[in-house]
Amino acid sequence: MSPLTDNQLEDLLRSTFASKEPLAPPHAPRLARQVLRRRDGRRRVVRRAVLAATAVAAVATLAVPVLRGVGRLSSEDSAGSTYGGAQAASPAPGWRWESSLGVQIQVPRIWAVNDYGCDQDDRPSVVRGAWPAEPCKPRELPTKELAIIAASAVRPASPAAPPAKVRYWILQGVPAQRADGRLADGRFAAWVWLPSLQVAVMARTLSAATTKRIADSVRLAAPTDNNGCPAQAPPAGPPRAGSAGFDPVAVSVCGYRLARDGTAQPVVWFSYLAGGDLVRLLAADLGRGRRVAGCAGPDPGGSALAVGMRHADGTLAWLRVRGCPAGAGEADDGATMVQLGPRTMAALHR
Amino acid sequence: VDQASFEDRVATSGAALLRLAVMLTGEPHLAEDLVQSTLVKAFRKWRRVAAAAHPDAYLKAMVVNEFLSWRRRRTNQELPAAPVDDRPSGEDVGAAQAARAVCWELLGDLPRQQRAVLVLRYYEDLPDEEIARVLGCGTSTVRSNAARALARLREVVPAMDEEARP
Repeated sequence: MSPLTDNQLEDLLRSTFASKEPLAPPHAPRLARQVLRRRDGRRRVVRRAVLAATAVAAVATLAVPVLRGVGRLSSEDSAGSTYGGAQAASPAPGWRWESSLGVQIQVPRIWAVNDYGCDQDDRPSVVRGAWPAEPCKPRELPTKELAIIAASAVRPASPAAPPAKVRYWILQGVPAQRADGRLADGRFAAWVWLPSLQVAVMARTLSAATTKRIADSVRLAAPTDNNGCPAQAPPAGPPRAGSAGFDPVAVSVCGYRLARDGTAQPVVWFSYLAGGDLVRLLAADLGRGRRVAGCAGPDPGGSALAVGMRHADGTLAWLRVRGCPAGAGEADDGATMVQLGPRTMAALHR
Repeated sequence: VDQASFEDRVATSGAALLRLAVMLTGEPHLAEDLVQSTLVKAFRKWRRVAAAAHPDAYLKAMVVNEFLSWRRRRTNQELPAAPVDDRPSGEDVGAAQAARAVCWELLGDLPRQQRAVLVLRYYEDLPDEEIARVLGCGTSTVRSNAARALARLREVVPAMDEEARP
């Protein structure tokens, strides 16, 4: 057996490369459009990141003494606080935490929320707490980007054809399964399924890196998620509204799905951190202290809200919030029931 | 930026860029992502790209350099893709095809710089001086990278049957 000559070696390389040309994806006319869309997305992210950085710098300058001992949070959607205990971690720049059904994931900060279902449009969106029974089968555009946290007792379908290889591992002590692949429409897809929680996270995006980051970011949200929400809805209290030192700087909004008997189910349906406008609206309503006796009928939103008011002195007080007919609501701080205006309720249920 | 000019160029050169990206990455989905990333960057400086004497060559150089920088960044080393079906093929695979399969697999194990040199030399048929210009290194570096890569290939191929050779 003699060694290859230089010419034979070169011929082998040339024929190898030539034989692999069919592997190249078909030059679809959508390539230029995909590039332009990706570039637009990056510009939006950069623009928002610059705005966010400016806002954070300004708030940090003004509010460092105030926030000492509270954790860092000042503006709307300031995900990545240190409220979450063991698994708390800052999201990557331009990303935020989303929590639902006992798991949390990171999604791009600019993504919409729950733009999914019958009337969905083309916006990228996270879907919080999707249940299998949707009122209609949504028809997704091939440019739609989604990260769905869904209740799922069965393993999701393969994201690719031929079926993707399923990987098994242990995520924070619970069995987990994952598959990555490519959909027929070209989107990059991945799912992570946690059978013991009966929850699946499914990502479908136009970028391999985005899909990977979403799937990689899956974490358990117990006992408290990164937005400061415990799995069990906390009781209201201690009463703080109207008292000295009532100075909320941020809120953890924790939504719990209501069971048939009206009690909150022991898993976070959705959660987020907020500052800015929502804090001002809540502070105004609570400061006004308009007492109510409690509205009749079930919460029209179908959820129980626990709102953690994080004060400048580092203390935390929980409100239990429920919606009433005509858009208003009421907040129970453990001692009194105070009316919340429709604007506050709309902001809470964004 | 002249968007129409950009779209025209992508329409005419996109297929070639995708093929080059496949040779570099070894995988079609990664190749598509590589080309998209490159074109996003190219779009930002499109006036300069369009004004180049050979815009196609300019874009190909960008693809190669994006590939090299991609692989340097750890975050991009493992991108999800449809898994490769590694079961034995049921087809009657010819000897030459088997040789190419071995060669392709070996290319995937080469350091990025060596693979890029082989792709540019034996797929794009560029002279070493041009490869050096694309990679931003000297011709001696190109030749030494090529020599090392060919030596590794030669280590594997002698173990194959004579009839499996090209």
